[in-house]
Amino acid sequence: MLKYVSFAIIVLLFASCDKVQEPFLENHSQNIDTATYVKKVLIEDFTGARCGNCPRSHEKIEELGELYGDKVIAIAIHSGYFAIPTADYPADYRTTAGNELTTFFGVTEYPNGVINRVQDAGQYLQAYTAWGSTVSAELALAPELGIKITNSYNSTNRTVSISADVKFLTSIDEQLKICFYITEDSIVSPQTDYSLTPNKVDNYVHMHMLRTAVNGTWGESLPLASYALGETVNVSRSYVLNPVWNENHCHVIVYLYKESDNVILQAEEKKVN
Amino acid sequence: MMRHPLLAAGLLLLSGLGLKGQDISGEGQLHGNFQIDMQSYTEDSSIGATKVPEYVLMNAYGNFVYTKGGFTAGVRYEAYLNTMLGYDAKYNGQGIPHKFASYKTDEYEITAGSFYEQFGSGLVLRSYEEKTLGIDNAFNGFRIKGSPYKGINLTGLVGKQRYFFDLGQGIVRGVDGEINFNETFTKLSAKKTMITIGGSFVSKFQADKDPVYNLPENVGAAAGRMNIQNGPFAFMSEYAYKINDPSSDNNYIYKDGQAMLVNTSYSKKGLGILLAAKWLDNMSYRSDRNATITNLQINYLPAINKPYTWAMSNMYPFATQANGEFGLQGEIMYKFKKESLLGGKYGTNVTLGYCRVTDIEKKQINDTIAISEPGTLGYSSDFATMGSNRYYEEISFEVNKKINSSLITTFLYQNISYNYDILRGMTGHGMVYAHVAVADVTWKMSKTKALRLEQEYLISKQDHGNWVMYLLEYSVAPKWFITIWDQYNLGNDHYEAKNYLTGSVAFIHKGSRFQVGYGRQREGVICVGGVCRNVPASNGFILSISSTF
Repeated sequence: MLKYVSFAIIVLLFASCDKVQEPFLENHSQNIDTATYVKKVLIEDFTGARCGNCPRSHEKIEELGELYGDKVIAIAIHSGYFAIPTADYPADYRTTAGNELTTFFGVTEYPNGVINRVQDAGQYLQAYTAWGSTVSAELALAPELGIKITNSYNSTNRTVSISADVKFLTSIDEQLKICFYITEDSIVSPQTDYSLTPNKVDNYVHMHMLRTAVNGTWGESLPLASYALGETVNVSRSYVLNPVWNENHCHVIVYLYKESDNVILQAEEKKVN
Repeated sequence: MMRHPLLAAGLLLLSGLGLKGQDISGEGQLHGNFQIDMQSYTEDSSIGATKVPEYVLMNAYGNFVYTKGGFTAGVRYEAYLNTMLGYDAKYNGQGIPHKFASYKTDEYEITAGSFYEQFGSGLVLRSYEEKTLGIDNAFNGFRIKGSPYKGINLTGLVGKQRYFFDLGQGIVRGVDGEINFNETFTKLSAKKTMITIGGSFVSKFQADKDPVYNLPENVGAAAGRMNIQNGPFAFMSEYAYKINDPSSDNNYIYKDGQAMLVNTSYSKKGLGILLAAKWLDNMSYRSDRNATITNLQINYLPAINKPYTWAMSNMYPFATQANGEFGLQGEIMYKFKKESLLGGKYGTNVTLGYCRVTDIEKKQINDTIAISEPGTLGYSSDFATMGSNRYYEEISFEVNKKINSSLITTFLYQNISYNYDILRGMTGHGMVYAHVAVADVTWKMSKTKALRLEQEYLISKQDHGNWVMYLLEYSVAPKWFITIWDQYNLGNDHYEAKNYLTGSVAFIHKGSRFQVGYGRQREGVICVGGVCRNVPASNGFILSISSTF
């Protein structure tokens, strides 16, 4: 009996091989979404200026941006050992919010990322090579919320006033939290890149750099714990930009997540100025 | 996911497989062991150590295994509150990640739940646990082992692999068969030459949801092996082949993989000769193509160098390069007889070892595709070619000598060439050349008391420069071990001199071991599969308790 069973198993197993023929790359036809609100996805990229493999995750963000346009929103969080400044890398891009997120998600390897704070096999963290799959799965979901950001910037006192209008596209019966983050693009400073010789790139252009969490790392609760389809909420905050930041390169990112499991339901991004 | 594997297994035993009424008689027995490791972390700017918000971190586990007749069931509880520095913080938390039940008769064995398995030398499948390295890639699923005829062993398994306190995405299916000719064929049973051949096939499934690449969802790997033994001679070989498996490890190339392992040895009283060769090409194999570091590995690619326990020998450790390497190893052990010129009163053991690992020859597919460019076949390679880039080379000479009834000595010299960039997955460091010398002298002061002095030196012009280490251990067997050691880095133009002093006291009593210590540990950075991890320097108290029952 055992002989026949094992024979059957072997036959079954040998059938389970997929030999992929060229082309190895998927063919894409860009779908232009004309709806008022579309599902967007937030990538939290844990990185560091002295992390030699981190430019690969930066490239992955760019690649997904080319694929999905502004539906992909990224935050580059400089934290951990590879973000500690040294004589060759004097800039300190670490932030309180970034450090708290790093501890919360348990980041010990770089690069690493969290996509919309969804979990796979009990973990938030995913290698950058896995981001594409999760991003495409998240973007396939229908949006449950819509966010519209209106920024007004006062250049004399460097204050940005942020107004976020949240519209419920379905009814939601659980506590949501809303976060306001500020990122800065096009910061030129050194970065280690192991794919290059020498591996120090002096004029590396850092994108999506997390600068601050306006209303705290974990944001604030929406006034109510339940909203019906079609309802709207407005949350407004203002923030004085650090004089070092270039306001023309700064973005406001607003995202809402469920307090119960941290999953981000919607994110939006808008230039400060 | 199996929430109640014990219950599930119990039900199966009673119904589906018709085992009801079979022999699970006899006294039931409960065995187990546990280990608790704790460390406090204080700030120490001289070595770059930082404190942790928790002040104290702990890794702990306990195994409980119940056996009754052919029935075995067990659980392992693990707690990482929070994970000690140097281990993956994804462990943070506690739970019962390992739980199983198995039933064994003379003809077969069935296991439900968590289990470890190895096919042959592990080139296509090996799951194992190595707590000190944070490795546990146990399968969680079903396994059947059977022996339909004497000398023939078959194993079949289906499962997912452990990923911290959960299971990875991929499903692994595997079969292995082995035939021992001398047992199977009565004609051969009296022959001096023992021959065993075996073969394995493993396939993993992981859905393709990637928007960029068209990925294979089922990736198969097969291996064949042959072991021959004749008196003092032993020959062991295994060859493995794996189909297209784009992954983080190989930079998403679609090339097939191959591996070859050959070990030969000759041993008789006073003489041992070992020769080994290993050739690997694109053989990383994980149940999640995006897994990194040591997570979710299905196979095991052995390192070819000789492992030592000395601290300085492990300063520049070899790490297997799954993407391609060619390694050769040779070792001769000889014992000079007692009362001979070099043997003295007690005889002298000498061991001469050599190993060399290089890259393999990788050729561009055409002018436009760079080697290992993602989304292509990557490169082409010919079987068993040796590249020109040296990864690791080591010459070692060891002498073990008992001088008189109370003095035992070991001397070791190693000459190591270490390709820092390749072996640690970085760039900008180049080769490190190091000489390591170790002298270990044990003085047995009385029947129970002994004093051991260990001196280790590492001399190098590269990296952190020279190191000196002294270790003094006073033991009162079998209860007390008091150890103090100091690793001193002399520093160089790039690095300041640093001192790592540590002391510990261990007490052993009836299968339990208690150890307390205080000291400093040095930092290190290692990169595998495109991610880097920093093992931070630390300063603090350690407490370690272990026990078996």
